[in-house]
Formats: sequence, C-alpha cells, structure tokens
Amino acid sequence: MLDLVALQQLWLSFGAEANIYDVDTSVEPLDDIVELVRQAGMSEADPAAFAEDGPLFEMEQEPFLCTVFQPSRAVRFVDTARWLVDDGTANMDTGDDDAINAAVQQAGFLGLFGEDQFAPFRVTRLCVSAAESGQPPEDERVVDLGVVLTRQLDGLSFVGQGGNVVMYLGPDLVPTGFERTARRISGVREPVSGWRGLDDVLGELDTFWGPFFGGTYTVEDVRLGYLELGRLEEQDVIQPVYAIDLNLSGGGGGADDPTPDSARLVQHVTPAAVNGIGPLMPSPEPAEALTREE
Amino acid sequence: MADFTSVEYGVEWNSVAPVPGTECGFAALPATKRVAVAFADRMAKSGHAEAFRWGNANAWASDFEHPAVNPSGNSLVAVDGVHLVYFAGHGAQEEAASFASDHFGCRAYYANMRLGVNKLRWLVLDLCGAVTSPVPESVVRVWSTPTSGDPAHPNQGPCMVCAFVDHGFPGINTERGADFAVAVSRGTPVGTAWLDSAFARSGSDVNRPVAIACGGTLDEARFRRDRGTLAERDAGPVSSRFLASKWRR
Repeated sequence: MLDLVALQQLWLSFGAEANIYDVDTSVEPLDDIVELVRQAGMSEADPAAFAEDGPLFEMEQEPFLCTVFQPSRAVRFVDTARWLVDDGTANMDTGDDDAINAAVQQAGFLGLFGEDQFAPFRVTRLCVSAAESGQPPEDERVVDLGVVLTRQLDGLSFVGQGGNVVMYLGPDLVPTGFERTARRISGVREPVSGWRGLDDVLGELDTFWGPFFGGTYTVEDVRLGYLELGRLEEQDVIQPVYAIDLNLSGGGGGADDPTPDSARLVQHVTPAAVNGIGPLMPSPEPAEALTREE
Repeated sequence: MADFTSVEYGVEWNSVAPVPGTECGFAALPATKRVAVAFADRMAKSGHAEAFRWGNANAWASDFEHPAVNPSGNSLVAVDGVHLVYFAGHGAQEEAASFASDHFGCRAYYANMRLGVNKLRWLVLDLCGAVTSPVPESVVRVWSTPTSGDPAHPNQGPCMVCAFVDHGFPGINTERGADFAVAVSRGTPVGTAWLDSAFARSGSDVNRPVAIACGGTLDEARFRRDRGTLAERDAGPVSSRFLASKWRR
C-alpha cells in the first residue's frame, strides 16, 4: 500500500518529456504481415490467402495459423500442434534470463520489433497438472514460457493489453508462437503541456470509486506509461496515462458476512497529461432492475 | 480453423454492491458488465444462440446451485440448461460466486454446484479466487465436488471450467470476454482460448487464467484440456474421473 507521503514522492519522479500521438489508421491490416509470417515459416503466405471473418483475417498453413486483428493490426502466429499444448512429458526449468535472451533473439530474427523499441517485462510460465478423483494431484510441470516484451517510447513503458510482443517458447526454446500488438504511430498530435498533479488524480479516484461502491480502497501502485489497448479495440490516440492499482474491500452490506469477501484488485487508468484525452474508465451504469420472473 | 459449431449460451454478471441488509459484502465492479456484455454481443455476432443475459438484479445465485444439494437451486434449467455460460463478478475465495441480487442467498457455493449433468459443457467464471495457489491442490479441493455429478449422473460433469487463480484483475481492458468468444467461435480449443484471452500482458499484478477439463482417463482429460473445442457441444455429461488443468503464472 502506498500512503500519501509515498505517493507524493512517487509523483516527484514523474515528468519525462512526452507527447500525445496519433495512430496511423490508414495502414492496411496486412501491410507488413505477409513478409513477417513468411519469415516465420508460412511459405505460402499471400494477401489473397487471408480469409476475412468479422474482426479477423486468418490464414492457415498446417501446422501454422496466422491471425490479424483488424481493429489494432495486431498479429498472432502459432504452431497449432504445439502452442499451449502439453506433450505429456515436458518440464521446463529455464531461468528468466535464458528465456528473455532466446525470446529477444527470435523476435529480432523475425523482425517483430520493426522500428519500435521493446524491453523485457515478464517471463510467464504455462503449467499443467492432473488428478484422479480422490487421489492427490500430480506435481505441476512447466510446458511453455511466454516472454512479454513491452514497447518503449520517450523513455516510458507501455501499459495495457497492447504495446507488447509476446514470444511463446516450447521445451527446446523454439517458438511455438508469437504475437505483436503495436499500433503504428503517424506523428505527434501535440506535446504534453503539463502533468496532472496528485491531488487532481486522488480527487478523480474519490469521485469515481467513493460514492459508487461504498467500500474502501487503498492505492497499491501507480505507473506512468503510454496506454495501448488490446488487439480487438479501436484506438486512434496513444497518450501517457497513470495506471493505478487499487485494492477494493468492503462495500454493500455484509458486516456479519460469514465468508469474508476477497479484497479485489482493480486498475484505474486516467490520462496523465493536463491536455490528455479522457475519460478512459468504463463509466458506472445504472444497475439493472429486476425484470425476470421465477 | 475448424468448422463452425453453434452453441446455446448464457451470460450473467454482477457489477454492483449488495444493498444494505444483505449478508454478503463486496465492492461494485463496473468493468464486469462490459466484459460480460462484450462476450454476449460477440457470441451473438458469431452466430450462436443466446438463451439468457442476466445482470445484477436478474443474476441469481440459485441459477448455479443444484436442487439435489440446495432445494432452492435451479441449475438444471438455468446454467445447466445451455452449453456455455460466462459469469463476471465477485468471488469468495474457494467458496462461491457472489451476487448482489440476494435471490435465495447472495452466494452460489461451489460445493452446492453439480455442473454439466444436463446440458452445460463449459463454464467461465470471470471472478477472483475460484482457484488459489498452489493450483494442483486447490483444483482438487474446490472443483472435485462441483464436477462429481448428481444421483442420476454419478461422476459426470462438464467438459471444462475456466477461471482465475487468485485475483482476477479488471480495469479498462474489458475485451477478454469478446476475445474469448471470437476465439472459440473460430475453433480454437476452449482452454487455449481462455488462457490466451485472459492472460494479462501488463500491470504489476497479473491475471492467471486456469482451465480445468474433465475426462474418463488421464489422456482424455489432457486431450480435452488442450484440444477440446465447441464441437464437443453434444458430448453429453462427460466422465469426471480425472481433472486435468493448465494455467499461466
């Protein structure tokens, strides 16, 4: 938990020079994808081979499947025989450093970084286990690594479901798949004219969360970064935001609740620039009235 | 890309806090409605058949509990009356899904569920604490009973339960429901679709999605976990002698 003094100190560390950028929405979804997936092993890749279905373009060349998400131009390429699949015996004990080195090397070979900069963020592990009814479970095994490389701009990391490359590595550290969500920027819409202060942001939290849920919250962490949304979402501006982790507890009735409710972590995201574009959070909506019959 | 299989689905969410006087206490979570509705909208656009879309006052704990365990339970005609159900809201750790509606109670206890004995093949619980760490032991402790069948279908259950380990982590990234719907509709294995859609790519905390599959043998449970798709819609209650799980941490 960050108290007020810690928050004030944190705020003093914010203030890099940054901009509000326009996303280049004129780029064709498959613009640079074909060459990328050819490099990854899909020799028959051709723009005409991609089938459009709702928000996706997809092309399959067994065992590979390439998916392009139209709203973001994100690309995912997987080996369907191996991606997120347990071979029944694998148990990886690869350390984070080795995983990151392998992921960066593979992503570089594939040209996934383009003209953007990425930095290692997290190594995740896909684990499996099984159990027979009434018996203790098997020990868990690690069957793949998902290395998240986060986009960097103006010295800031990206936050959100986008703004990253994820390399999936199998037991031999050979990729089982990858994805890239990094919207192309066309230029600066305007420079950040100033940063929103702590009091302003705390006031927003109180306004948003205070009367709405009636419980208490604590601030667990705050990060300043550029926001990029996930692969199915439209986004035409990339701007710096404060990503604030809150721990919610209480609310409603429940003073005598026999099953104490888990506190719940949520993330509140708000424009960091004085001239930022918002709001960004889903606004509370009126609760549904009872209309259903027994 | 597999052939398209149309399924019947239902969605429920709880985005508000309980009214005063309710036994349960939990905070409102506005993002859960967006997650759930996005799932439902995308499923409809993909050509699936919507059976129900119940939020807040219309989302009831009794929809999930089996009448043989709790007489007020209505699962056989509610969640177990469709192939695929997505619930977004609060969870009490290893205990229950929480409901502000307080209709025959504010919690649907996992121990009172007997899932998949009728029509339900896949249940997604987009909430906190359905599984905790360490995962293998928690899966057995929490999910053996809800997948153990009822008197008419002993040791039978659904194909899969999808959930989170420890905290679910809502924010402005509310697309995971839609992302999941797109993926399963395209023939992606259900467990793989959930792990890919719900895995958080940023943040100081992370969503740790977990998929738990049932099977009559170890190989069957593992196969269903990694390869099972909506094409298993008519598999009927499946043997739950084995549970095979996968999760990302």
